[in-house]
Amino acid sequence: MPNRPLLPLRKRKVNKMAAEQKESVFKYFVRQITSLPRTPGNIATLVIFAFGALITIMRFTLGIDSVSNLDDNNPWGIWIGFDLMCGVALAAGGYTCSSACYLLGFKRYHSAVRPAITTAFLGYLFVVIALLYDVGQPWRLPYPLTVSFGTTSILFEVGLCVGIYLSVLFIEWSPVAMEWLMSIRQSEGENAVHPKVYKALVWLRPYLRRIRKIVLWMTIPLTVMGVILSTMHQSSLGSLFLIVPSKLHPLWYSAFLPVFFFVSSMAAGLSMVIFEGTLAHKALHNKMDETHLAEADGVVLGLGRACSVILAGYFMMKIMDIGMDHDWHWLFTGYGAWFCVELIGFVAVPCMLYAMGARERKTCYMRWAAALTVAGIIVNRFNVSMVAFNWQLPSVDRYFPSFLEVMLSVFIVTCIVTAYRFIAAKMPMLYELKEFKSHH
Amino acid sequence: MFYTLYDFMVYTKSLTYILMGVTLVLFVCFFRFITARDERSGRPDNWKELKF
Repeated sequence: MPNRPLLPLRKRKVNKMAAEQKESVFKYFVRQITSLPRTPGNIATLVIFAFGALITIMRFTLGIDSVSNLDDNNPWGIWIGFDLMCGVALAAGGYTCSSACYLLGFKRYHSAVRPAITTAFLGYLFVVIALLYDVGQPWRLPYPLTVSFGTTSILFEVGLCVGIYLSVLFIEWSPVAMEWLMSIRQSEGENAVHPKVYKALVWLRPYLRRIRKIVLWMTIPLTVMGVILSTMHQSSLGSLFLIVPSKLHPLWYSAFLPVFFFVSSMAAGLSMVIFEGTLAHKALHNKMDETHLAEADGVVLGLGRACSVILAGYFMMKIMDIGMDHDWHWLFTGYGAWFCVELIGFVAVPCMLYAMGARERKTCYMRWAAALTVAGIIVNRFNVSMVAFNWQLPSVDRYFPSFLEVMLSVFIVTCIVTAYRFIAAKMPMLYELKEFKSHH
Repeated sequence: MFYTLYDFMVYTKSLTYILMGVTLVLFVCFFRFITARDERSGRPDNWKELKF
């Protein structure tokens, strides 16, 4: 039986406010947005959004050539290399954290699950949005799944997995939004919720309560699905490059690219949880409850220790791969130097930092290691998709992103950060609401 | 210089097997490095019982 928390007195108050307030719902939302404080950060966000809107109009009216340096030699640029490949890898924290907590039984990481799922959901959502800019004709996005099945293509598998996993992540994340919507109460003055919006929320409340209950009941199956789908598409992103042995530099090309992509995504996901938690601690400290604050160091130490083992395994696999392909001589070239920078600077060094942090129980080592690992994943995906790709072409034919391409990626990242800030500020992500605490 | 694919495979596979053996030994050392201090100090794995 759904709860009916509203009293007749409150209903009368809402009706009174509706009579006093003639403002439309649209104007109400516009007022909410325009009443945001004019801080430097908000103004910078606004400028980036304006740029993003301009690039969007140009992309979909003048074509991809007007905003990018892509050509037949380089059909995949920064939008694939950064927005998609880095976005998917860095969003791996969702499945790693939820499987550690719900499948492996490490309940001490419970406070990290909601931020990790939120980051993963936003990451995947904006991966799909960024993909729309690259492929064009967004209305044809469902074609491979509905009209023309490309079952022999790895991209089909990637698209299918990303689509399903985005839905899974949305369902996993939805209790955060539902708890927020259910906890909204009417208040007086400027902060008052619009009567029509409030009325709709009150009407929705019992249904949200039921849906939330079903979603929480589905936690384990959803986590299992998340692990399966992530295993499939994280590795498939590496498989995409198996088709280009002559275009990708031998140091980066390997028959084990799918394994490398999957293993590195685990390290990336865990590091992203630590990195994002560090930033959240600095910027949103006041939004965290006692449990989050008390568990934060333990989460960093536990995840960091796991990450050090994963990075050590990844490092040794890369060395063995060089041995298997007999690529030692390439190490003494310019590309080899860059490969060593990636492997030592962004894999071995963070691995040792994590290990020392785990040994000495120092979280500051781990936080630096997390930042280095996140940077390392970006460097690796850039190398595979751009720097070491088409390495034999003369420099005039090589790809370099245009200013507008870079700005679109900045726009996408700004959208993710803004959405994360909104969720962290409004919704119970870094804290638990008292009325729902016992259900977690 | 490799004259046949067989030569190449024998050489690279032998090297990989050696690397795998080294990796196994190094990995044990690495794991000991991470956990040794816990064992010596008797610190429990459950961080909730720890004082930072």
